[in-house]
Amino acid sequence: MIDAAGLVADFGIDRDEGFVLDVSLDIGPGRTVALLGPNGAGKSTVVAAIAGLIAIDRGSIALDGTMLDARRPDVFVASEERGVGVMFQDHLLFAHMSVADNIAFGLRSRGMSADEADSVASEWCDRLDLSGMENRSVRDLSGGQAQRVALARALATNPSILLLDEPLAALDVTTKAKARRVLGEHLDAFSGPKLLITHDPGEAFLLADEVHVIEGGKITQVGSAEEITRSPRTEYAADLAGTNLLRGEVADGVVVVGTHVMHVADSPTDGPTLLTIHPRAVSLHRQRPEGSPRNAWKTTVSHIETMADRCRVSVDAPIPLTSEVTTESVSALGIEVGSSIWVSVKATEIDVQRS
Amino acid sequence: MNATILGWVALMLAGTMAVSGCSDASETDSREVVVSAAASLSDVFRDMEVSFERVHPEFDVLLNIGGSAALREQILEGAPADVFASASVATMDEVVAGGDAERTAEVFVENHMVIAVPAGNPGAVIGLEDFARTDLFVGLCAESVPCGAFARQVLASADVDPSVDSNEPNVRSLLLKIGLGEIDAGIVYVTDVISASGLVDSITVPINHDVTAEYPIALLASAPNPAGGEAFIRFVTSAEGAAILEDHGFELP
Amino acid sequence: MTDAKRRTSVRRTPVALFVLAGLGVALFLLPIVGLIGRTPWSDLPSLLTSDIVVDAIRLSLVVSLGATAMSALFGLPLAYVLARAEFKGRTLVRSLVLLPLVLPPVVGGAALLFAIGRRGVIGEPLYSLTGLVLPFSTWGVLVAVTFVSMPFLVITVEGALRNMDQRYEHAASSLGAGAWTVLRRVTLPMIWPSVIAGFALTWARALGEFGATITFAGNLQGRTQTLPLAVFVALETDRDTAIAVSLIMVVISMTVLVLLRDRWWRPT
Repeated sequence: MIDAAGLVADFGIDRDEGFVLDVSLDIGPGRTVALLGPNGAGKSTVVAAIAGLIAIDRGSIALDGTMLDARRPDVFVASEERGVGVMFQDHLLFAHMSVADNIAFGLRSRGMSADEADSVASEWCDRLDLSGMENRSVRDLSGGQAQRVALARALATNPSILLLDEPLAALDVTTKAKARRVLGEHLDAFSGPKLLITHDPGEAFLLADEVHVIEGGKITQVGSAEEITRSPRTEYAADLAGTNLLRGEVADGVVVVGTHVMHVADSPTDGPTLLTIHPRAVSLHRQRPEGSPRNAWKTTVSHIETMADRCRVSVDAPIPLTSEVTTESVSALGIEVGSSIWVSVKATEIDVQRS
Repeated sequence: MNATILGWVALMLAGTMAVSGCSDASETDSREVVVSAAASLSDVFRDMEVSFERVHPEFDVLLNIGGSAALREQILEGAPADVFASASVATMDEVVAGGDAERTAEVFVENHMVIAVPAGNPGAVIGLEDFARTDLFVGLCAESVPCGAFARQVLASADVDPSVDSNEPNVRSLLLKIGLGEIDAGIVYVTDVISASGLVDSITVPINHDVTAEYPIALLASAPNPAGGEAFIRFVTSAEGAAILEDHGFELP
Repeated sequence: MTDAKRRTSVRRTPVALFVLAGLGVALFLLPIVGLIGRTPWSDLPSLLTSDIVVDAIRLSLVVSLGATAMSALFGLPLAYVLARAEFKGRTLVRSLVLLPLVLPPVVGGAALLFAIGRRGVIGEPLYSLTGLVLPFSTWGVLVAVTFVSMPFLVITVEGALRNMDQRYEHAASSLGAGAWTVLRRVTLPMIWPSVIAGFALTWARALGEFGATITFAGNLQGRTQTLPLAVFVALETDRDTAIAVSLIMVVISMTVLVLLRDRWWRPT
């Protein structure tokens, strides 16, 4: 009997066509783990297994000390008994029901009276900026509204674990930022373990405490955002996961990150903002670079990671940044940990988003 | 293929089929003899067909079996047939009145009615009075069919008000259900009982209640093959035809 | 549609297809034209209120609605099991259920007679144990009619269940809904248009059933003579009644199909 709060899962699933999934996930109460990986990596299968929609072939899944699915001895708790809250990709709102009925669905399925469930649903509508929309058909909702209803529906049953399958994938770019912030707030408020499935590194790094990279059914790396960016273990992690993410504040047309000023091409209106810089957009120079790019500064190399023909060179001050260059460049520059180095980033290479 | 060409091809195909249909008819007209015959004549006319074609190899008989009234409708609506053999004089009279018979029809054979019960007589039927019993499953031909009309005449003559459970559309389906044991008693033709011997038993209808069913036969006015039709009628009314009729239980007029 | 759009879309269909399609429509239109041409319009009211016709209408309505209800009672669970449950021989079972669709109705009626007639394989022991006789009774008509029309409901609903996105059912389960709740509050509402279409088709088929009825249940006014049987019998002696009743049946069927519009073959 596993006697621990949160999710303790270590299981394997053999799907058709020889695809084998083997994962191990321990998520303590209040912690958010992101499962980050390309399509087909098995992410949705993990959600389905924890939610009880498919059975595992090996291992076990336990939640707050209760065994949900195990082979020896054979235990399988039906999905409706597990107390999981799932937010599905595509939301999967019941089109023939109103907003309130959707949110109240889980409660009414568990025996709550219609009146009581309706009032709980109403409260959730208020909490998620859906006031007055209780009786609207879900067919008439915008993308952002639908997403919030899906979130409310999952949270309303007071689940023991929250599973989010690509919660922001169905949204367009302008709605995504706000939705991500709202999601972040509610995730913070949720005291149980949280598992976030995504293929978007920004989402993973911003919302999760810990990121697990999954490829081909196996977890290839576990760590914080900085750790993965600094030392990606696989091609995929390097290509997609290893991205520089910086939080800053827009003021007078520039972005201030910590105490450092970054010049960007399109600055949004004043306020908190998110900068994304691909490691390959970070250039390294022995001397002050010519043409004086607006973002250039001198700093010290803090870490070098060599991978095949590429190198990841990281600096810590004044802002943490990782650059990806060829191994030859590193030799040509003659740098090592502790060396002095000039770093530059073109303003046009900085992606700015409202945070 | 160009869409317009396809359209013309389709039209031509349809036209060719229509034309060829006409030409085919004129060639086979002289060989085929279409005989529309009442259902109760189906067995005997099949034998008749075989014998006739042996004597007249130049002809090919096509038997069109059906209820007398249904056949009458077909003829009145202009269906091409050469000969009409009806189980009811009334039906034939209607055809004659419609001008569709070549000349006055002649009655070529007679039939009588009989009570039919499943082999073994499970309903313990003795006579016509049993048809009033409500515990029995009683079947008659529908009144609009000659067999049904005659059956009701028989029962009326014996002053019996039958408790009918089904009015079968033709005598064959009535016979089938009696043979299966689903119907305990029915009134059919004598010839039917002979053809279904082994499956049904029969109980004679008292002579004073019995009805004679007369079968008229006629050449039709719009016969596509009048020569063939005439030959068939001559054969049916010949000595050889009479022998076949008597073999099946029919009586000569 | 604007006139310009109209002309464009019509122009794109090849002429040849229109010709062939037109011939196809003619095939369906001709019998109705023939029927309307022969209808004795002035006598229609008296023909339709004669007791043969009234009995047949009453019987047909009772039996067709009853058959639809029976089809729902047994057919809906059957459709669900065929669509969702995994078991060996599922293809065989489905073929069996669809058999009445391809079998000539008379053959179906004869088979019913052999099986549950008074001397039938199952009918005989049933009769000696309970005294229950199905042929020549209204219940017999109900059985024969359900036999031929239930496959329509099964095939329509099974199709809808297969086509629907089952992830909605998963979502419902994860929210705490047990199997019956999922069925009642999610699955059924999602396939409801197809269920309705299935009911309509089943009822229409039930109304028109002839071969199995006359073979198995017999033909008796008031007890087993439904509308199609009444037409058949009337055709022999009372053509006007036959035409009048046929017209009624065509009107009813056309109404049902027009009301259904496209719904019965479109996925939910």
